[in-house]
Amino acid sequence: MKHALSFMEKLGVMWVYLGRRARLWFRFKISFVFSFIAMFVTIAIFYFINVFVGEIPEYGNYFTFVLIGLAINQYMQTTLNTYLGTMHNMYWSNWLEIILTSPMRLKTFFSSVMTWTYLYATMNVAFYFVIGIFVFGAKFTFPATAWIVIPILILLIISLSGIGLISASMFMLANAKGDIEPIGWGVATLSGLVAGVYFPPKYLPAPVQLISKILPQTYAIDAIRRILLNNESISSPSIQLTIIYLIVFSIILLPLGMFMFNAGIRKAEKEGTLARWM
Amino acid sequence: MNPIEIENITKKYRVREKGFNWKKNLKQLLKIEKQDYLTALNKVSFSVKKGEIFGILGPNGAGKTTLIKILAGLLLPEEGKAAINNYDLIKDREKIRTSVNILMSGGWIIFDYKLSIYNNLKFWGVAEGLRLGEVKERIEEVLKIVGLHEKKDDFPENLSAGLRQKMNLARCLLSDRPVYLLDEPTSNIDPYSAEFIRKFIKEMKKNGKTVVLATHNLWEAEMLCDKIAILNRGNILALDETKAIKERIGKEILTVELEKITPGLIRGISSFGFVEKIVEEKNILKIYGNIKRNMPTLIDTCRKYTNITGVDMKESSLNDVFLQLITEKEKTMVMK
Ligand SMILES: Nc1ncnc2c1ncn2[C@@H]1O[C@H](COP(=O)(O)OP(=O)(O)OP(=O)(O)O)[C@@H](O)[C@H]1O
Ligand SMILES: [Mg+2]
Repeated sequence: MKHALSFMEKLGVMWVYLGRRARLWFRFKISFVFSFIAMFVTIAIFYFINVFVGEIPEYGNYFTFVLIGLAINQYMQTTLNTYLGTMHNMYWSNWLEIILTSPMRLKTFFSSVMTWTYLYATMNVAFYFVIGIFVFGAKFTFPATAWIVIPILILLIISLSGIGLISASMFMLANAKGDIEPIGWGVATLSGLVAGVYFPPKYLPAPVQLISKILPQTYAIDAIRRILLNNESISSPSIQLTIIYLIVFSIILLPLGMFMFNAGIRKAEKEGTLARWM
Repeated sequence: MNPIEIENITKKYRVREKGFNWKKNLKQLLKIEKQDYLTALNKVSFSVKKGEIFGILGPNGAGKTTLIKILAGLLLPEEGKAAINNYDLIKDREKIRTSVNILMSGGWIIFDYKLSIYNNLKFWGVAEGLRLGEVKERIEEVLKIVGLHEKKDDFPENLSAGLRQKMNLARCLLSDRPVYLLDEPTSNIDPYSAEFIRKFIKEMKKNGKTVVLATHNLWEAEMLCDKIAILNRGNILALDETKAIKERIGKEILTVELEKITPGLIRGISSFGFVEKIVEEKNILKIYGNIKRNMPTLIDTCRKYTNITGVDMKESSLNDVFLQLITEKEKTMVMK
């Protein structure tokens, strides 16, 4: 009878979970062939849009501009959707109760799920860049200061995890038992329009720009582009401001997300809605 | 202290309407309108000793699953106190959860049909804290116990319901916990597999495990349980040792079909000390009590008054007690 797992045992859980997901993924060979074809087509579409758009002020070539946006978007969508999606799966398959009765507990389980999804997202991003660079001839210089992209990306992921958790908490708090819920869906959908994934937000009407200024991803996307395309470094004030802004966002949103998620679980414990069928 | 001690546990569920009614929800939130509640458990108390098999019997909707979930620390009651394995139900419920093993009738839906039995169990093995080096051996061990070791590379979609339940049992056995909570473990299962699971439950008892068994299979409960609680609409109607519950309405039942039943006959029979109860239905008399030894006397008495057209004697079963208790309750409910 174990009540909790040691660090090594938690790593073991993660390892077996990754193996399990990989096995499931390989079993659907056709579906992953299709998803690669879909990514290829997406990149091709933007390549041809680039033929018309060409250069955009401040950032240069549109194709490289949008490749960066698409890559960051992978991580954003993953972070915003996976918590809710996982709740949904756990509820309908009775996993939630069994996980709660195992010494593994929810935290280790979510860590395993998130590790898989980020590995998967990273593989997609690598695919975007490989196709973009080697098939469609995108040009990246990758300056020596490019490493700052990684902490910015991590901070972005942390602050959006807060929103992802709030979204997952709605599954229980607002009884949003589908795999879509207004908060996470709203942020994920809006960020396509206003956060600068596909075009700079400055072309938006002024009131809409206000929304884009609230979202942390707008700053992160812009900063990452400045670093990769304009060779800006950590010494640039706008990059420093972005980092501070992301830290503030993380400090507010992550604890709020965790608090709401736990409140949701507690509500489900009272209502008897941890599992659907039994 | 006993592994399971519960006292005055009351569980109420909010009655949910279809769809989302903003007006009503807001009113209830502001306490203008009262919530509708369904009482799933009403002041339920009992304790289970170590190594005992405790049966919870009741018709659909009686509150069996609700009770099992509370014992597992997965559902919070509104009132009452409980200690499971000496852990407090509210404060230490995380520890309760990892000290009980819960097995549900359709619990195998946690398995992925696209993975082999072995690969399905592997994840739950490491989740229990088995090390990577020992998990394979342990899975093979438990699969041998449930008789699935030759199918370890099969996929659960090819398994019958009975085998899937065995697979679920195997998952339970990956961890060694002192209390087993079984919610209708043999429902939807063929008699052969059900027999296997019942044997297994006996085995658990031998190994000193404490078992709570929720079921509506009375015969099964009678065979396995040391103690039984009969539950209906959240109330405990009877709680006693299995033998005592069975004897509650007399050890044996004699059913006599007669040409006619007269008050004199009834008076005559009820004057015997060994008769505990008589039920009259049209021209049939059901006589409860210590019948076997006194059968000739009873038959002779009946013959004195009328002709006998049929006789049947059996030992009273839990089924009789159950039906009687449940219908008695229904009758009083009607009278209210
Ligand atoms: N999560 C829930 N929310 C609201 N009501 C519920 C919930 N779970 C159960 N109930 C209700 O509580 C009562 C008891 O349900 P429970 O599932 O405990 O019965 P049961 O004895 O296990 O029945 P069965 O034999 O059908 O499994 C039922 O009337 C049921 O409809
Ligand atoms: Mg039930």
